[in-house]
Amino acid sequence: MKIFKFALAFAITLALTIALNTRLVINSNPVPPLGKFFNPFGGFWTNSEKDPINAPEELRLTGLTDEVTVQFDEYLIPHIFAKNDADLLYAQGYVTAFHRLWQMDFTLYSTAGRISELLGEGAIEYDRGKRRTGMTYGARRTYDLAQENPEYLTLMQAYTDGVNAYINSLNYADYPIEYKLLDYKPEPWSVYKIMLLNKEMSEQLSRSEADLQNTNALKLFGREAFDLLYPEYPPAQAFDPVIPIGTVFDFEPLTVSKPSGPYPSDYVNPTTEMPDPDNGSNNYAVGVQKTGNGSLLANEPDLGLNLPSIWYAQHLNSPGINVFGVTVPGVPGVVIGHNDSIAWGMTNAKCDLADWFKIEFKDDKRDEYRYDNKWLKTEKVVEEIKVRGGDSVYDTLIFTHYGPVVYDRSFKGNEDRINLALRWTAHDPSEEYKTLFLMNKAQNYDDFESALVHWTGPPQNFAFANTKGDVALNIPGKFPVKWPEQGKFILDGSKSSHDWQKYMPEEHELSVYNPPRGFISSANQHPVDTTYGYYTYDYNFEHYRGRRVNDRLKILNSITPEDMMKLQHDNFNFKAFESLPMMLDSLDSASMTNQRMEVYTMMKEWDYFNHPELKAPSFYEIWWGKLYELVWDEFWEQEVALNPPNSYNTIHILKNYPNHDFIDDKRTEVREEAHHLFRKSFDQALDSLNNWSDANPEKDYEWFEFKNTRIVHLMRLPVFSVDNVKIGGNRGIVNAASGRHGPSWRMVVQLNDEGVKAWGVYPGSQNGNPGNIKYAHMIDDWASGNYYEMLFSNAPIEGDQILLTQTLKP
Amino acid sequence: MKVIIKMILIAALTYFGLMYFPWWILVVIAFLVSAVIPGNDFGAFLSGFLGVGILWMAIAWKIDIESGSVMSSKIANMFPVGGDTTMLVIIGGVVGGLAGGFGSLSGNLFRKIWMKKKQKGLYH
Repeated sequence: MKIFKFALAFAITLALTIALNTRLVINSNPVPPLGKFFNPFGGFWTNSEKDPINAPEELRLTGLTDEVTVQFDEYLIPHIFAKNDADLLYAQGYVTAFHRLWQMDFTLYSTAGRISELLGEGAIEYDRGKRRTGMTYGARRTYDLAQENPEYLTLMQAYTDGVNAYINSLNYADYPIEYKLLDYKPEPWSVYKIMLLNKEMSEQLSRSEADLQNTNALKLFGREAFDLLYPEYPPAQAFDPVIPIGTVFDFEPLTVSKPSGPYPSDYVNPTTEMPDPDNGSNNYAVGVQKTGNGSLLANEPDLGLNLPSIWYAQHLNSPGINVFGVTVPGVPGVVIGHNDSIAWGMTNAKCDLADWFKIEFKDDKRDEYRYDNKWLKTEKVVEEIKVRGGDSVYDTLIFTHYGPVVYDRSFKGNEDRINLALRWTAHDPSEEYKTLFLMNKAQNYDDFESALVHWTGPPQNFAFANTKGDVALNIPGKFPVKWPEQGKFILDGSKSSHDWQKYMPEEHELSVYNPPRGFISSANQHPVDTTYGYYTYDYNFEHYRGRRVNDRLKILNSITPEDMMKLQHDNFNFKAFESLPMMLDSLDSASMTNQRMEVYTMMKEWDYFNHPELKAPSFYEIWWGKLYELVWDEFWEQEVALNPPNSYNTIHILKNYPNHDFIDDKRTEVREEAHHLFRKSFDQALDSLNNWSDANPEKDYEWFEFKNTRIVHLMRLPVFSVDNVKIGGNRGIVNAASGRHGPSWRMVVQLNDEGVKAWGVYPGSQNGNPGNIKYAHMIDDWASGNYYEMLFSNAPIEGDQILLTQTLKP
Repeated sequence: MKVIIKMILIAALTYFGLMYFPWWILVVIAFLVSAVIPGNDFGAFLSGFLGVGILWMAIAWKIDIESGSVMSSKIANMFPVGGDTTMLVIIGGVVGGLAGGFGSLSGNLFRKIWMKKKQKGLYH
């Protein structure tokens, strides 16, 4: 009896202990292991940080060769002073992990297609997509190539060692809160992981291709309609490319000849996960003729707005290097910033570098595929996707010489109708890390250019400014030479004439140095006009921000840093400026009553600025949305993947082809013209506005409330996210803050004979811990246009600005 | 009285144990204390439950106050407690308390298997 009683109690105790030590899923809500999680000695309680920073003043770290001083300033930006480059990067890795370990680890899982390991079966399709588009394939090849560069490898290894030194110093109580919520452990960092994160930048920035959608649209609508819906260039009055019109190109471009048809014509649906089409940025730099003394450079990358932030600011100093700027957690070096002599910034140089090739397999075994008169061998790789709380899933990837066959019978319900291989420059081994290391040390334009030689992708508009007042912009990358429309549609993988044949020589790459207008700028618009000689195509060029930036810079003189900041916050809605008058003209104001008249008057009086507290931008946005829906009714119910035309071209068509067949709403019996749609959408917009007001009784429809810019934690947890940030702007506006997207880092640098000074701010905080008192503290300043002057010196300093000076010892 | 002594002992040993070991060490501690110090079953459970529960609540409450609920206020919105951080303190106390209580009870019953005769003598 006594034994039985003991056995029973013991069994209960054991079961209870195990249950409290296990992550459970109750009603599909994951619950962290309660015993671990509530333990006040190690659970979530220990992530409470009432002080901005709490770390020892002295640390011993194996792997360092000499003493390193780290100073955290009032914004928690680390200023790292080392005696050699390896120690500098070791410390960079250590400090980055100290503030952002979980973020870098989680981003890595997501890039590598390993999210199912953390979240379970719901993420399997996402992971398969990542594996199939070849993220790990590109990273592995890049890693292999890096073995030939021992001096760079040493530096990346030093960074890795620094991260791992931090990880090894942790026990459960010190883990970032997200590890405790998801119940897993940090994994050691590695050089290979650095390569993967480099490739993730390409994934975010160089996959705006629309080959499949274009092919579908061409087949569905025919050539004439296709060219109307998706013109390659806007009309001259709206064309303001990155490289100023009139630039002379004195070289003979390489050419490839266009093969005669036929070209593949297949319907494909659906498509893989694509990066946000709004991923883009603004940068501009003004030279001495515009400032009177030295130059100014501004840059803000517009990306997904997340917490922890995509960027982490750092100042790195060792003999021969003194650089400040933002870094990508997990990747060594500074990505965007300045040193003692130069400043640089990046925006995405849109260019279609991902092409789809239709593959013809010899038979069901898929061991061989046709290439002209030969059968080439495929290579098969079985990918294991580990799944939390379940069995591993295996996916067979088939590689051709183009790259992985992403679409085949086993992916995206495609049932063997079509096999498509992806040829993408990001699959190629590359050495972008060399660019960053060299750029961080560059002293002049020559150094800048030699750093860019190593840049493969994603292609960027690199803006340059120096203390002498020079400005420049270069667009480096690896660019296949294409025949017109090559890669705009699906290509035939069985013909070598459809293959990429040669690459543009480096000396033909685009650049502009001290142009007559006195400034350079870029905002993801067309790179250049057709006099260039090379075919430059992208599906998704920007049509508004670039024109606004240039319009402003043309008229501004004696430009100050404040002018540059003001321009970053410019809320002018170019799209509304070009469409609203036409929309309003169609309305019959004589017969309007109450609310109609009120709204009509408000819109009439609006000056097209998307300021946060105005209501007109909200109504414009609703109205535009309704109009767009009515115009492109042909697109919403198609079975195949299609992209409706962009806003710019929609307005262009409404203005110039008001009676076109596309304007007619096919769902109605009558035939509509543009003015019918303006009126109809106005009515619908009023209804929609009233519905919104009913659903949000406590809110007026002020633009920021309506738009709801929010900075969302990577785990999508509302409590770790910030909602309803009071900021104006929108997509297509220089101040590009839309709902989940916008300026992820704002930087203005002044360079003149007195030296270099920078201001910066981003929507987040250096410390990634949601339990830190300073979590997300910069968001309000970011939104309202306040910048922080950045501390930048050549040696450690003393004073109130320093919260903590830390000595790292070997 | 014995219950109070055991309770304090369990709390004190747990306090030091948790500085170096995972949370479940408290189950082992509670088990061992009751396996060594005699007592009845209910008293054993109570000493484990209160020893750990009060300790956990005290520490959590201290962090909650000192940190101005900087983290707990967020966590309190993830659990169905309506954002009340005191409820988190109490939930933690119950979770730790149950683990400590059952550990302690098991220890007591374990001792009884071996101490059969002696104990009978004591109580009859």
